[in-house]
Amino acid sequence: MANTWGYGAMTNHIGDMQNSKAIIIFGANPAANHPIAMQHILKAKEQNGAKIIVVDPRYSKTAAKSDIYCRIRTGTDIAFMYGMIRLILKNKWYDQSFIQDRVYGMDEIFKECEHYTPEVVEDITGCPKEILIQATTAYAAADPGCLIWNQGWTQHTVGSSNTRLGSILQLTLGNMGKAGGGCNILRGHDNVQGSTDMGCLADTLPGYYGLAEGSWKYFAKQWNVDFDWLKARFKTPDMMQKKGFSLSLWIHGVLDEANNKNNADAPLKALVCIGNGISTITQTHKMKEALDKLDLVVFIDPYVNDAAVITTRNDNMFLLPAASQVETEGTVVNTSRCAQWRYKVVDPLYEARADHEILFDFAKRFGFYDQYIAGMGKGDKFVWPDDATNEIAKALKTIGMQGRTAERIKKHTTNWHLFNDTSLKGRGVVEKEYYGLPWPCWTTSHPGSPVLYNLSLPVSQGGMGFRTRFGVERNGESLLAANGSAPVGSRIKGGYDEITAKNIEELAGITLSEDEKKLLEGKNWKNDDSGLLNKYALEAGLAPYGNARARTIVWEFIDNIPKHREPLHSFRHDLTAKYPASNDNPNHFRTNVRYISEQTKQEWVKDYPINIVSGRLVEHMGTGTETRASKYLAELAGEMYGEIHPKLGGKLGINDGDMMWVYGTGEGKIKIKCKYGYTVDENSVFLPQNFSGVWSGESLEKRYPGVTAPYALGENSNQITSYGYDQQTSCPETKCSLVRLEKA
Amino acid sequence: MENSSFFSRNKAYIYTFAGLGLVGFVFVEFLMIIDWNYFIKYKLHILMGGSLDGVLTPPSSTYEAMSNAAFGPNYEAFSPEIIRASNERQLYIWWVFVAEIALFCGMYLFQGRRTPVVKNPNDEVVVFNLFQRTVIWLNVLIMIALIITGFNITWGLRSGGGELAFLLRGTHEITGLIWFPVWLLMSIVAFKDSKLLFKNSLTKKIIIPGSYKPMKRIIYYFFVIMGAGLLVSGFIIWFLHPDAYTHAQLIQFKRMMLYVHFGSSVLLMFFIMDFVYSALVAVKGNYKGLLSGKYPREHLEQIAPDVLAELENKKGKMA
Amino acid sequence: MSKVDFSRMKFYCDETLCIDCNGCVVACKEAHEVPVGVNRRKVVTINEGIVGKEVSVSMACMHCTDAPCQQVCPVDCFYIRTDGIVLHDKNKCIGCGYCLFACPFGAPQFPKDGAFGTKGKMDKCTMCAGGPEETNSEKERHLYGQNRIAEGKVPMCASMCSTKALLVGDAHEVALIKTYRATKKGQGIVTDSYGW
Repeated sequence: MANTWGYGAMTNHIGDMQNSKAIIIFGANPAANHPIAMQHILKAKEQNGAKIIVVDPRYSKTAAKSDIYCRIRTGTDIAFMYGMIRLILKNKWYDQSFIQDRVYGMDEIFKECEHYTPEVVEDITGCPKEILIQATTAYAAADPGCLIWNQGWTQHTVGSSNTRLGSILQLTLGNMGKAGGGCNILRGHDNVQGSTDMGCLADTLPGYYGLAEGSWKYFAKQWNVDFDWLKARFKTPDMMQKKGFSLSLWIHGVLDEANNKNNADAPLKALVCIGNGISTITQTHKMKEALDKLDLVVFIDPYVNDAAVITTRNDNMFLLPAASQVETEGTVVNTSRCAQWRYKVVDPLYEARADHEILFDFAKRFGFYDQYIAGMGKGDKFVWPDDATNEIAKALKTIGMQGRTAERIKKHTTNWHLFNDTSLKGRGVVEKEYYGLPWPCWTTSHPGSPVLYNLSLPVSQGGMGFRTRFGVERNGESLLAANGSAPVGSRIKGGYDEITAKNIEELAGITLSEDEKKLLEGKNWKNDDSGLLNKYALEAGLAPYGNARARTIVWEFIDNIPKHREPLHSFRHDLTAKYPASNDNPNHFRTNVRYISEQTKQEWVKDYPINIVSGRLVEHMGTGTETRASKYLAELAGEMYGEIHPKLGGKLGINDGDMMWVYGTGEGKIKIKCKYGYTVDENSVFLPQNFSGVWSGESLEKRYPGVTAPYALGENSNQITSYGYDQQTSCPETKCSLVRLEKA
Repeated sequence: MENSSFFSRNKAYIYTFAGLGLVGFVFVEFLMIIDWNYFIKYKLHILMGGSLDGVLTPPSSTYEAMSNAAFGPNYEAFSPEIIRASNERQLYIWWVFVAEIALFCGMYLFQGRRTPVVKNPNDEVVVFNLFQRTVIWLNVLIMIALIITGFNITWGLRSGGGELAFLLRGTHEITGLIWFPVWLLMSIVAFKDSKLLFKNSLTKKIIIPGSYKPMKRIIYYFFVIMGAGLLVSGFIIWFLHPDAYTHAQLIQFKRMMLYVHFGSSVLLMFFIMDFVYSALVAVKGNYKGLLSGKYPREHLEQIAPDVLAELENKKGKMA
Repeated sequence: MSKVDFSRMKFYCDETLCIDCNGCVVACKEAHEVPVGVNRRKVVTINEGIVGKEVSVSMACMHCTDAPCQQVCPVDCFYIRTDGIVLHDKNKCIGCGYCLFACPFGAPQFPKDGAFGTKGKMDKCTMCAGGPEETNSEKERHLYGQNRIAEGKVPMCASMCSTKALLVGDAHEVALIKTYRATKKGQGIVTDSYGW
């Protein structure tokens, strides 16, 4: 999404869904994974008359509440959406003025979608064409309509294309930038937005600044450290600017020597894992091999990380007990970009230490503690986490964090009863502010921006156009928004470039003083510490990041416009010739990643004829490390299983309740109980991904130290998910895997 | 030669079944609110290999399906009867017992006691061996314990609940389990007429000598059947322990078992009284033999000549 | 003189909103420290996976006006409050199980941890109103769990319901909410966000 219109975050907010007249949900199951968000969806359905459309290979609990349910084969969302766009085009349901004013490149999309007639879509996806037409008609007729997705879309080799086409669909219908519309990605953890904002990604610095020298220099200044000192910490300068190994691919940095050349001629030697369920990435057995091979493994976690018992290494593995969220204090950012303060309830029990204490301790022992804390500007006398929060606010200008100081966030959390949940507007002491100051919150007096790209509000009240992130023109066409398309109260009644020291005077219609000019020399809105650029921009009603068109064509990507590509292990092998995977990528996050060679290696579906549909159980979270240790949750959902349609069970000779072996394409195998159900079709098996602690039929309970084993153990389903990574983001393709089932 | 008409030969059977029939009719027609149709169909459904959950016809609506899945089917079939039965048991069953006792007192008044004339009390014959006596008395004691603990539940209002009552209830279940082997042995006694049993060396030890009079036969058969009913229904009520999630599938079956348990216990009580009357009240002198195992020859000559004949036959055979 | 109108406390679960998240189940167990194996509240889903027909509903003791459990108990350990909440005295209970047979909803639960698996004292949803012991005493909490009604708080399950499918309160009030929601269907958002 960031490559479509500037920011890659949920564009509206959760309560805002109540304003929708239609909610289409792809690859997400809010009923199980965001039950509270489901309340807003159901309220929209009941009070606002919204149509709920669910597109999912499995009839999930969300689908049970839907008005229209479309069952598609895993990995065929792009075909489905192009089918929708084609119908929208043919019936002229698209928002002409919106496209004209605010979108670049729609013609390419309209050309591509021609191929996807309802019949073609039915062939590819398996969804009857009548249902496609019904769903599209209902969705296009609704104004506004919002689109929800989550990991059902991102965990594919074409995940990046899925999300782009979803955004494009919303652009086509003009559903962006308005209440009740937008792309609502209900992300999987309560602070995953916060963690990506902080740069817990392999290819960005905090705030999504890139890894170029300019960004590093900027951060060196923010952190009050010498840039050269920072540079010297890396083996070579180009290692500093290289994308790192991603969460799904690091194992190949350990195991595959061919990747050493991408990693300064060395394999990965040590792993420090802080509160991450690394055992839920595909090819868990490879992860085990990698963990066994490393020189040093450290887990920092309040619970025993599931990976710690999967590995069989005997030495140099450390478990450091971390404090839980109630034993420490700080901010979290929810999926809709709102910040919330979390107060400490108790001091850490037993030997647990808060994460920052552990990291400070490491910094002290490694000898860079002073540099580490320099960014807060208070030397040794900093107050945690307030000073850290303020440092973040000051530094992360790209996402407009300047307004989110510790004081303001605390005030919101303390007064959360004063905010309206549907509009996020506050009253009383927090009047005119939006709850959690959803970023971008350009200045300390800005109220936050709950609905992104909303032109009906002035920028100082949270409005903005699309971001000018990709230049001002391309191939002779302007990438800026058309004349007349600008936030309310904007001095420029059309598109403009992002604000820099060079163009601020012209755009804002002001004259800078000499002192100001000196301060701002060479600066732009992303690195202006004085805050003057933002101040003048807001006064003139201009968004600091510019006002441009959203682009449907991403020229930096492998697929300029989203293209349907069959998954690497496709159930429909016959379609892989027509919709092949992309070329192999020798240096994708420092790893050699196979695409087309994997897809064409063999006809996978011959030996592995069953499709996996993977998902979560409502009782568990992630790997289940925490939830399986809760006795009541373990009581409710304590056993791993695979759900198959009774007809498939009959064909395979496996009864309801029998144990069965599931063989994956990557040499893994698991032994789980069979459950009959109708939620999946006759060619699929549903596997929950929340279990761990059993390895190919063997319980790992004995490996847990002392009495730390959770109540419920089960097979980790990622032992049998297939190889595959998104071609842009390296997100693992867990959603499209093939397996073979046999009675145990 | 004795006059032997069909009626006089089968008097016991006729009286018993006529009596039971009359009382049963009154109860079924006027007092019980159970759905007999469903009761019988349900049993057939189980025997024909169906499931235990009591859903005899597929639900006709989503509401009914939801109701079946959430609560179990056909609540109205058994539960109102259970409520009525357990309430009325508390209040009225002792009247039933009083009436039954009155009946037997009446019979005593009319028929009196048969008292054998024993001139040589020392001329004794061994009738019951040690094993038989142990089993008999064990049976008596266990049944008394079961009756007391069982009716402790029924007459909870009088006990007022509390720890002792709770313990007695728990005891009832375990005692029931202990009764099973004893019941089995006594059943062998009851069916001693069957060739399979008395030709079997294992069971020979328990079989009591003598042939059955019709009344005794009826009483014993009822003991066996009602006992079986109580045991089976008791076990099921105890072991089948549905939790919240299996409730809907099992509760209807448990309700039916509870009903069987109540019904069996009432009928069994009647036949216990009948047995006590006919063995100990209607005839004087039977009691001593149950303890010592020996009866005076004259007692047997007058009261149970068939027993004496069988014992002498045996002796003769052994001699 | 006006007649005193006592409220009648009832549960109501809207099956079009219940998403089988089991939040109510876990909330109740956590709040009252219910032993594993006993579920005072449960969620039943029927027609799972059948398009258009799947429905879920959360159930616990319904606190019936004519409670069959109370009618059938041999030791008469139940008592029905004026506001309709059906409670029982665990000290009197002999664990015979008649209440379970009589209950249409399977609300009474028995811990199966006695000797030989014999049943323990009956446990059921108290609508967070405790038991006959002194209100909010440690004894009451140990036997029955929290007494939230005495503190004016909403019972745990309904307060934790993700979609506010589960409502609890005076029967008239709950019925009014339901009526209001039905009449306002499709007319736009009229109520404050959380709850209805």
